[in-house]
Amino acid sequence: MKKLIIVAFAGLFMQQGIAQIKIDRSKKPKAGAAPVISIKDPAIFNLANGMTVIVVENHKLPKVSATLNIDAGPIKEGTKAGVMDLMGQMLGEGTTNMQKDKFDEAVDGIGADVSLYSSGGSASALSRYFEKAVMLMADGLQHPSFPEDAFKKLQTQTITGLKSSEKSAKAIADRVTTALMYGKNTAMGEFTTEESVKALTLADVKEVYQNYITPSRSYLTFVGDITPVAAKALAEKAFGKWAGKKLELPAVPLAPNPEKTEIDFVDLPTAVQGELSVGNVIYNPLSNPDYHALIVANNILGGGAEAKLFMNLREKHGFTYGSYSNVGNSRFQSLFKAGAAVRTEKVDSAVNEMFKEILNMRDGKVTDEELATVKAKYNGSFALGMENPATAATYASNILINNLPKDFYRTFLQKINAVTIDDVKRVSGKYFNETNSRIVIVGNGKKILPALMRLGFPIKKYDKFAEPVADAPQQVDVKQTATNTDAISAYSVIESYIKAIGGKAEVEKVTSVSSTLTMEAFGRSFEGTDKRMNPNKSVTEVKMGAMTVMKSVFDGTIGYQSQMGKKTDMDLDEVKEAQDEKGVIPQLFYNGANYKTEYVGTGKIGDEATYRLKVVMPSGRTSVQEYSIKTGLLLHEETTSKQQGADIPVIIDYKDYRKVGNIMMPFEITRNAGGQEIPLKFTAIKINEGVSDIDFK
Amino acid sequence: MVDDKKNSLQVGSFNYALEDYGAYFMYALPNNETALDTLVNDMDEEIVKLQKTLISDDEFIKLRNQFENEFVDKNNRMLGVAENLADGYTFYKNTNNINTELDEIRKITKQDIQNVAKKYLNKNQRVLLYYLPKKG
Repeated sequence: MKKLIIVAFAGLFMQQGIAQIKIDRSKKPKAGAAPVISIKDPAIFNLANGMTVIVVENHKLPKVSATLNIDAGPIKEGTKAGVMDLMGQMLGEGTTNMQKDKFDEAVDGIGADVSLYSSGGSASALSRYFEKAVMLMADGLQHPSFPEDAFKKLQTQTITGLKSSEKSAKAIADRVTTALMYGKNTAMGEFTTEESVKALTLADVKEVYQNYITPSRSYLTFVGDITPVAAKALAEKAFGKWAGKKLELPAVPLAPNPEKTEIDFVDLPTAVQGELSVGNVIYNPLSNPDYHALIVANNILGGGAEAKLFMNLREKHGFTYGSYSNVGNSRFQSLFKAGAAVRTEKVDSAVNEMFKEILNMRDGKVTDEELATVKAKYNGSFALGMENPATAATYASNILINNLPKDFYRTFLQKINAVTIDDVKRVSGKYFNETNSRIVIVGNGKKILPALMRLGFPIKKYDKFAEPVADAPQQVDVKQTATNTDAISAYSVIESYIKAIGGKAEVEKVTSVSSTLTMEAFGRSFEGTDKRMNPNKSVTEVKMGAMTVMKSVFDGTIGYQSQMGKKTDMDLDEVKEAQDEKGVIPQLFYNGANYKTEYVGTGKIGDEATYRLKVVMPSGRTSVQEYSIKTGLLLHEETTSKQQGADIPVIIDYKDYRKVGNIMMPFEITRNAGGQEIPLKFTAIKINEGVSDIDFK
Repeated sequence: MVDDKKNSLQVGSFNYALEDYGAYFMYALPNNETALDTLVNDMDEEIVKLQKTLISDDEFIKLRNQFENEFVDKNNRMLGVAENLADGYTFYKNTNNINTELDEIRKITKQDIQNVAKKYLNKNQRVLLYYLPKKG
């Protein structure tokens, strides 16, 4: 009873105490002034073996950490992809001084954390055990024992891990996006596969260990309760005698963006959603003068739940749980990427909306509020990040590795706060591509592809490992005629045509064709020129003497026709038909996703037997083409042409094939439109010369 | 049980401390077809060891180090400090607990550990729960 009274008294006392200060708990206390963030310059010195030691002193808590970062840059592993990761894991499998279990016990016994990986290691411990922890890390890095049984165990585990992500649309999308952006056979674009891991041996692991675990180009960063003098002594003790290969930062060839925005599609029939990413390669090292404006712009676009992508794709349209964007900040190239996992039936709409938001950024359609929100986020999170000692370590080594000014992080917020909407617009235009991006989509092809075709971007298909996929040969419709029971398919007809005119490799080199021609019509003789350029730009001009009688121009998106000086713009249907062709040699693309092709039996043109091919163009226009069985060349075509809303039948004959460079071209084309026949005879044809963009204005 | 006997997938124990009554849990998941009573026996064996013999010096030092390391880490961030202050106020009515907690932990001896094992880990004061899948 007595005890209870004392407790009650104490309670009363405390309440009075509080009442005396008169705090009104119903009101939120006012925030104090924003603290000034001070980042001290670290102490820096070098060891004779090439190691740079950085010391960030902070005696708040009795703990110290050390991080060793070996700066080897991007490493191209080639057929041995995965060997670096495996080597990193092997470092934790015991040393020549201590078996794995003894090593682990030694770490546990002092309550420390020691980890080792392919680019270095880290150790953290209470101050009084710190030296022990660092010596353990140093032993692990310098004297690994690389036992064979551990290698087998880790190899199997790695393969199991790869198998478990085999069907993951997300994993495939990440892998394919990186591989296509940087190039599959580059240090930054390559990836680990089951095959590459299976082929690895312990000798491979030892080899990369010799090459890349070395004091050369290494940075040892101490943070915490340690003086520079003590740190120097410890660094000398742990690493002073260490010798290793000299590292050179590799030169990484620049990866180009595609010339024109394209869709790269990976068919994954089991996928329940479409993994979508839109992006391009950028160069945005921390030293980039645009760096601050660009990270602000990226946050406005897709930094979180208040950013444009999230508000649009999730909040407004409900296509996805979340959509975000990222910009890299590597010393080498990195990626700008906006992405989302989208409901299968909404992938095409999501692509549209994503581009809309990218365009909004490029047009500077950014509100003051959006800008202020992002700045506030940086102001808050920067200070919070400084709580973590590892942040200070990263900052210190970043400054050295990237050759940044010493005050880079001290002035960081100042520079973020100085970013204007104009800056955001400028960097968005520079780094968020519109006409030369890559749209990578992984999903159920049957459901997604038909809708994607409507977007009008070229579609390239890839497998799960970023290898291009040729469309399977189209099924032959046996009911069409009695004569197509042989092994001929639409696919083979197109392939043999490409072969006949010069072979795929040569045909792919053709980007433009320029020709001069003569035309006999209405009892008169005309002269003209015809220029074509990939994908479907064209200009045809017909003259009588010095006077232009007729000119038609199409620049890929708009066009017109003028007759005797009277100009008519192409209407939407005419534009669509003009866009049917995806290249100067349109057949090159017939086996792609944009066309439906069908072999419809044999025929005869004059004396020559033909295979007949039905092609349904992206606009819906149908063309029946006849290819010589003997030569493989195109002889005859029957199709339609939209003219002022009506479909006019068009019959075209191709004759007189001759070699131009390495390509066979018809030198006589007779075009019969709506009963009016126009025979064109070419006097000269040039490939890849004399044509430029200005011709199509 | 996991590494040597290999009869369990996972074994563990944790202390579930609350303001009033808490609980101490031990659990084990069998490997393959190991009978659950085997696991109970194995766990009992370990308890008996703990009750009858003092833990080794190495093990004791390791535990102290790990506790100390954990404690320091908890006070690394502002949020951790705030939580520790709140815990001190709520459970001990003493925000200064944050400054004395480590000393309390350091005062624990090997004998103390044996004593609590004797006091709390007895067969007459436990619930044994078998968590079984539905018979398919």
